[in-house]
Amino acid sequence: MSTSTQTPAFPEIPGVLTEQGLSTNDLVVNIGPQHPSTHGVLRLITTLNGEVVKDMEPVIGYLHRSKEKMGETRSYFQYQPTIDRVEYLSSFYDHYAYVTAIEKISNLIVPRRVEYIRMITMELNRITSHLLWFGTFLMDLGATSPLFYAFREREAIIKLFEDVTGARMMYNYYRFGGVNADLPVGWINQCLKVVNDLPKAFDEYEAIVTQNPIVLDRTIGVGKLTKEDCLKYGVTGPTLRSTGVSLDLRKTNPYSVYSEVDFDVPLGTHGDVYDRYMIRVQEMRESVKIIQQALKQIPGGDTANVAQKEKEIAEATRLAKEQGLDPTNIPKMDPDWLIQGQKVNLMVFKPAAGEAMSLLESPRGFLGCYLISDGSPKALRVKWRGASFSNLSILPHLMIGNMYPDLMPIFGSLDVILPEVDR
Amino acid sequence: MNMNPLTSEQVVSNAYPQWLVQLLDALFRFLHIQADVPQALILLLWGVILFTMVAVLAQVAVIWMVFLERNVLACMTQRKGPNRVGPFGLLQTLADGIKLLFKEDIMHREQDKLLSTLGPAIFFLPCFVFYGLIPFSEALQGVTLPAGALFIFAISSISVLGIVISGWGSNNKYALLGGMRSAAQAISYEIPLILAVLGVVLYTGTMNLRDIVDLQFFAHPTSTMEPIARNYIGASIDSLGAFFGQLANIGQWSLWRWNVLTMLPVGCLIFFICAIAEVNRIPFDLPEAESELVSGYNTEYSGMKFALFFLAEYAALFAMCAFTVAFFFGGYHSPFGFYISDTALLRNALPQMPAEIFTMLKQLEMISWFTLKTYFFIFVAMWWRATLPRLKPDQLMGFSWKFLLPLALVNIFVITFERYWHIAWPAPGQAVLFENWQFIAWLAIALVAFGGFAILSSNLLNDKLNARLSNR
Amino acid sequence: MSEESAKQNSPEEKAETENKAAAPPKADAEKAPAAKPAASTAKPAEAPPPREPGEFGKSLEQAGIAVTHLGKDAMGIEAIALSTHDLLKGAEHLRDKCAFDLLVSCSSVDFKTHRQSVYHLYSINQNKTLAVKVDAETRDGKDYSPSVYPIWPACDWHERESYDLMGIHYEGHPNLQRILMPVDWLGHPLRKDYTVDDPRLVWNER
Repeated sequence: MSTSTQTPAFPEIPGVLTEQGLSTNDLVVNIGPQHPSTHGVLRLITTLNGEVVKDMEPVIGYLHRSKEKMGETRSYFQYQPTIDRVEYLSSFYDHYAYVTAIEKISNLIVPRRVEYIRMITMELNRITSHLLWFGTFLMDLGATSPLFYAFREREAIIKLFEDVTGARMMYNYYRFGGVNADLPVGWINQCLKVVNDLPKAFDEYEAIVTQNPIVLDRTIGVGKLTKEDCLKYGVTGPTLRSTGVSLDLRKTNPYSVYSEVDFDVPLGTHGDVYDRYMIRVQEMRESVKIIQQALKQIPGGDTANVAQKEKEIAEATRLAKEQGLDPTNIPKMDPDWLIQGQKVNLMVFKPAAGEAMSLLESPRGFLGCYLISDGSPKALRVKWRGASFSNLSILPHLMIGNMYPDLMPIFGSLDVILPEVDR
Repeated sequence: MNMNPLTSEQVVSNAYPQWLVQLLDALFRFLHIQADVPQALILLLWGVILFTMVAVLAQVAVIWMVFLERNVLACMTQRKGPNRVGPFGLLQTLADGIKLLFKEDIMHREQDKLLSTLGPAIFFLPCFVFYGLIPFSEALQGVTLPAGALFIFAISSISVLGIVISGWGSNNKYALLGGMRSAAQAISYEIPLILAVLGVVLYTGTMNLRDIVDLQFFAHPTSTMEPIARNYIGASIDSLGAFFGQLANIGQWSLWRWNVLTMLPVGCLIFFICAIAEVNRIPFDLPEAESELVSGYNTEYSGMKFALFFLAEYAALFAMCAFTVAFFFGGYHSPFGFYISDTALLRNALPQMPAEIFTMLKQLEMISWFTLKTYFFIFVAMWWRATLPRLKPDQLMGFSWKFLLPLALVNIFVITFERYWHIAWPAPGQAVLFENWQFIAWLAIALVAFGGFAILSSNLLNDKLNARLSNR
Repeated sequence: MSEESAKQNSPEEKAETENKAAAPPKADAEKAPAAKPAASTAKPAEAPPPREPGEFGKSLEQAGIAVTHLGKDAMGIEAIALSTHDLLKGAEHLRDKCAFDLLVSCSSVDFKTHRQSVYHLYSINQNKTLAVKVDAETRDGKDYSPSVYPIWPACDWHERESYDLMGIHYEGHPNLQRILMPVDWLGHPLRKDYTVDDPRLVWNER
């Protein structure tokens, strides 16, 4: 970022007694690109005075896979599987942003069952993402056990994802105007069981972490942020909310069916690492609430119901055909129950010309997909606005003047995912 | 005053055994050497044999500890742990060791070859010298030094040099930071550590580890420092009834004579915390803080040099836990006041057995007790590792200088009074008031000192907490 | 810093000129993008459909700033276009009077004929998003656009990214360097003329 540190023409010789005292040199440490706590491939050129950080310059781009260029050279459907890799810890969100942009541009109908399925999977994904953050954040602090505890619950949720999408990480589940397949039979009960057990697990985490004196010592008052700082660097998500700004797009600009469920937005007051930790833990509890409500409200309920209805309709249709009855009297499928609003031929799919910026609240903050379509099968421009990109840019501001060991709680608390930064 | 009550008849002689002389004699005759076997050679050879035994013991202990640690951590984090190599994964550590042995020793061009080679050796050496000082049993102690406690801490500070040297010689910034942190940490924690041991030395009046251990078994409950009353009760146990009767007679257990329970619970706490800090384990593992300094001082090491660091760390952990046991938890002595293998019951049951067998059995039992207690503390250390995050260097220093050091001083202050008045805990049934006014006075002093410290420090902590909360 | 950037630019410029000679634009056959950018004065072929002015466009107009109204995008986000000349003035108005305190992103779009920066703004008080589009000026074969760094410092990395990938030079940016690509990368990969057979890749893939 800033290249403010001037290198003297002749480096001072350390250890020489001058009039000002013992002359010392700053230590320039090149943290990364490969480092245990950079969560990916990030390089931080850090100038240390003793253990105090004097200057820090993040160098990114080691993970640049030209996702945006790929969006312009592939058809919409071909591009879809690669979206998972933009941000692999919460890829449902990226898919949602992309798919919604296209749906809005080309006015596709999205049945409410689909929106519910999307909301449930997204919120589950928020929990898995936060759980992974929880584990790695405490790993950075030196506590190894929470990672395994978090992975235990994460595994249960990933199993659910696997049942729905067939994949554990790269889901590629949403389609334009629908989803790939309906939920498996019995999945809703299974999910409800997993989700109902989660708050107990969160209590367990909090018992080992939240009141741990060393954790308190290392997080309270560390990496303090104000609203102004956040706005100055475009920081969003839990990091912004830790300063007391109630900005959660799920509440302020409800998308999907978030307006139909009841949940709170946890807010912090001090903007320090501890607040960010608490917000994420509470957000997981809120997500559980959302999922529990959504599983009850989902149109059609369990897939067995939908299948039963389909069967009945087919039977009625057959009977009507045989007996030559009026086909208008046949009961129709509730449009809310469908998993595909209207048929879209994905291979030759061309949305109308237009543009859309679909903004949503990912686990890390604002996630935007700015899509411009010129009516051809390939997008004119796909721009990903990842929350991590802006959130990372505040790191030097937070670190300068702090001690080097504070880098881990501070950087960890920003919850930066490098693939999302570099795209 | 007789400061060393264990005289020659108690201390098992460190002299060489006769079979060694005979063996050497035979060897000399075989080689047609006409001279007598020189005394110096026998002593030297016996020393080498002892040290080899201890070193092998240390290796085995480390291998076992690594296995144990991996399993304990796995258990605490709901994993399976090593279970592939050998039965129950027992050979996993051995396999790892062999792998490390055959690994290439990578040294980069800018590394200081001499220093970076010396570093692991210097780090490794003291940890194994410790093993010669640990009293595993009455008979099994490499060397019984009259100033053993002093020697331990003279030696233990050397290992820090190894870390600093390898940190500097690696020519790596992480390693350098790790080495510097280690130096600062060692200086900070050595002082309360030594002060805690000073309390033990003041209290027991000896620096000989063997004596410190024995005093916790033989000393009469009513007189901690008087010449020892040999109230060993093993000979009186001649039936199962008597055995269980003694076992049930909790008041007579020698457990109550352990330093940790008689006078030094605070000292024990300080010692164990500092010992964990000395061996750089979580929550004090700043020198090799993985998430910050990659691997700290051993970042640039591979192969056997890395294995040396690894071995030495575990060896030091074992040694420090062993010293905790020796200083505060009765060492190799049984907590019951008698040895199960040294009772009249057993002797009567096996009348044909030669006496040596029973002596050996008793030594084995002592070793078992010692190892059992030591592994309990090792388990505690592993438990901490699974539970606690890492401290920051400034918090680490603050904890040592602002909390542990004053507490250790208060501890010494209280023990000084105890020594001055020759206080002893009153025996059950003994009248306390008036006859034993020193005890009352001392109790008051101890209460005021520790209570005052507790109030003061908790006030300071509260202030710190408030300041921290208001500064958020 | 300035020296550095000058150094970096020199081989790049060379390569760009080379590339222009090597790969003539073949864009004529393709249809022009239908989503018309604001200042489509460069393309007189299709007249932009009339758009009703939005809330913030009106506010800007009242403040005497020339605005092109672009209606709303598919998500219902109001879009306006400003000229490079008016951008800073308009941005200041938007920040101070319309309470757009959060810069969400700065995108850059290559329309082949010209390059465009799109700033997405968010107002925390009103919960509203606004898209501000600016067509870059082309001088000496390079695109220039004023940086909104003085108004929203959050644009720092976003504008660097746009510069890096699209080659829009943001004037007034304090540290306009490549951010995702290596500092000595040739060309700007998100441009439409930058394809897999680009001769500059030989240098880049060295």
